[in-house]
Amino acid sequence: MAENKVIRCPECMRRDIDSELFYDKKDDEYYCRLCCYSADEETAFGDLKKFKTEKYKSYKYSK
Amino acid sequence: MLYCNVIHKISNDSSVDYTIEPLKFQQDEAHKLGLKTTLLVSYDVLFVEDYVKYCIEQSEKYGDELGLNMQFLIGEKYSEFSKTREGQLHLMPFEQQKIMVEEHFERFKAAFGYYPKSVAFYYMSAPILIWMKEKYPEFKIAIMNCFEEGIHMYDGNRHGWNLFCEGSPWGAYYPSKKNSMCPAYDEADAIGIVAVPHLNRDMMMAHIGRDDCFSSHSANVQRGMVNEGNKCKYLYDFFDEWKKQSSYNKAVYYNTLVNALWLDEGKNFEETVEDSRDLYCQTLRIYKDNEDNGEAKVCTMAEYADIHNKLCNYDTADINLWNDLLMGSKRQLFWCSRSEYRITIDPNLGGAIVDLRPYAGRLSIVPGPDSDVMWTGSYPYVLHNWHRESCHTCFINGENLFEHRTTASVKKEENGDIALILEPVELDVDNATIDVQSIFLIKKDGRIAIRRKILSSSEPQKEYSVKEQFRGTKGTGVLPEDYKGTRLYIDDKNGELSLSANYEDRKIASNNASCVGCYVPQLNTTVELITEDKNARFTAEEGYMFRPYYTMICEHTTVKAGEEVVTWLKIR
Repeated sequence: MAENKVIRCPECMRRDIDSELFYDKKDDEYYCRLCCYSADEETAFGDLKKFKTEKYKSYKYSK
Repeated sequence: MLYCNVIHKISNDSSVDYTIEPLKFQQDEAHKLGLKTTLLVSYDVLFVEDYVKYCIEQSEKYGDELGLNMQFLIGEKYSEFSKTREGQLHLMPFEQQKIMVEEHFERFKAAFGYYPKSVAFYYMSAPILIWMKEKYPEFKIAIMNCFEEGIHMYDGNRHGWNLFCEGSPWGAYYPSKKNSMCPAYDEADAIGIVAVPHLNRDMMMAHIGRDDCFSSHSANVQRGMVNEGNKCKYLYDFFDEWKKQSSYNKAVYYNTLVNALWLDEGKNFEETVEDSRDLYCQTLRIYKDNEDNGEAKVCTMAEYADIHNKLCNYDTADINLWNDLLMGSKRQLFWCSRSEYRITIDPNLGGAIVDLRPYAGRLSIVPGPDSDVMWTGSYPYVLHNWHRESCHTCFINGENLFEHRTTASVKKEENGDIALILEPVELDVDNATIDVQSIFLIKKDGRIAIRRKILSSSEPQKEYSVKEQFRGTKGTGVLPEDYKGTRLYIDDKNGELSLSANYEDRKIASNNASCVGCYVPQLNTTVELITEDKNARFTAEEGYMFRPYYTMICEHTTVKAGEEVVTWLKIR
């Protein structure tokens, strides 16, 4: 079972909105209180990474 | 030259799980590099003997400046004294502000033996600053606004962060007694302090998105997810882009102010504390490296105030030409701030004027519960393309330059004029191909000459219409605001034509004039388009409810290839 980690909603991030996902212990799932996004921990982190990669696809991270 | 402040805050808030360790980490890392800091002390700290001793020791040993933090009034002692949870000084009534400031200043003096020279707010209006300067002449510099913190940030923070201070200058300036967001005309108009921003911002992203994700604050950048762990090229590119502004300005101010909380375990979204601290250290190293190679100078806030007083006059325009860093585009944005206005020109939109704040109106804006503006400290715009789809653009035979992106460069003339030179664009108009170049010449006296030249045409004898269109409105946000009573006029040679805007879709027009203008009473501002072109046609339209804009048009009707037309934009 996943711990209650800090993960922001990837869908809201696409609209420049900071919305931390809430954790549903019963369903072992993270969900957003603003939009309809919900996912398990691995998917949520993966979606966040995907958002970041897409948004800054023309920019290189490392120095 | 880029003048940099490293600013830290020391707090003691028992309502959060606060420890001084992250602050000590920040101080130690700065001192390892030989950097002086400005240490802003919060109210509750002044009651803790060990913290006061720590501050004094830092100041004596490293030359750090001790200043006063009034950005967010919080803490057990503060609550006991104030009897309120209101933490934003600028939202309190004036008399209450005076009580709070006096209490803070006197406690500071009791702890350290002197009044602070430097004070930090998120935003502060003029009346209390005037009072502070009179009562405490030593007070010389204040962090006074968060650049373009308003609509985008409000949306991004789920409408819970009620700080509105859009429309200000982005750098250091002398604030006016009439409105702290306006650069002073002269000494008589000035409060007598130097205003600096809370952080430097990405001058593109602050306009098109959130100012609080893309700034000189390493944790903000993590919030924007621009980093990959402890790797973040953006921190370096950002600093370099600010350095470039030294080409246009005598002194460029830069600060970083990262609250120690961001560098504590579990306090920075998905980020680890190790990465957060590493990135912060990299920020300090950027300062050090640039100072070592002579491209930046690190100083305290009070020291910067002295530098600014020495180098910067009241009538100096502040210029910024910013290149997109993050999105891999060619997009640029040009900003100019002076006593009369702040203007933003977007080469991506063919050189359209996309944001115009008429400081000349010198509106008295003082937020608070007894104020008509309530929360909004923002200086209103007279046009804003992002918020309200209102801008100034140019049509050539009906073809809108707005739809043709270009790039720009800045040239400063010997006489103090500033030229924004746009690369020519190619247009297909009426079966001909033409090249058009636009230049905005900002004169030392504040008038703006909008110069359009048809460089070449595939039909050399053809005459073209060059139409300047100013679509204006007024507001601070994204909803329409009433501009009823705005007086539109044209100085027709046979007698002035005018109408008072009332959303009835009326217009006035003349082929026999030299100026079309509007006076917006809600902004106490007049905007005019003026030309010496005898063949020019003028139109003014009041707009209607579903399209609540007033429009001023100056149309040059007989322009051939090789000819340039000039339309003056005057804001008073």
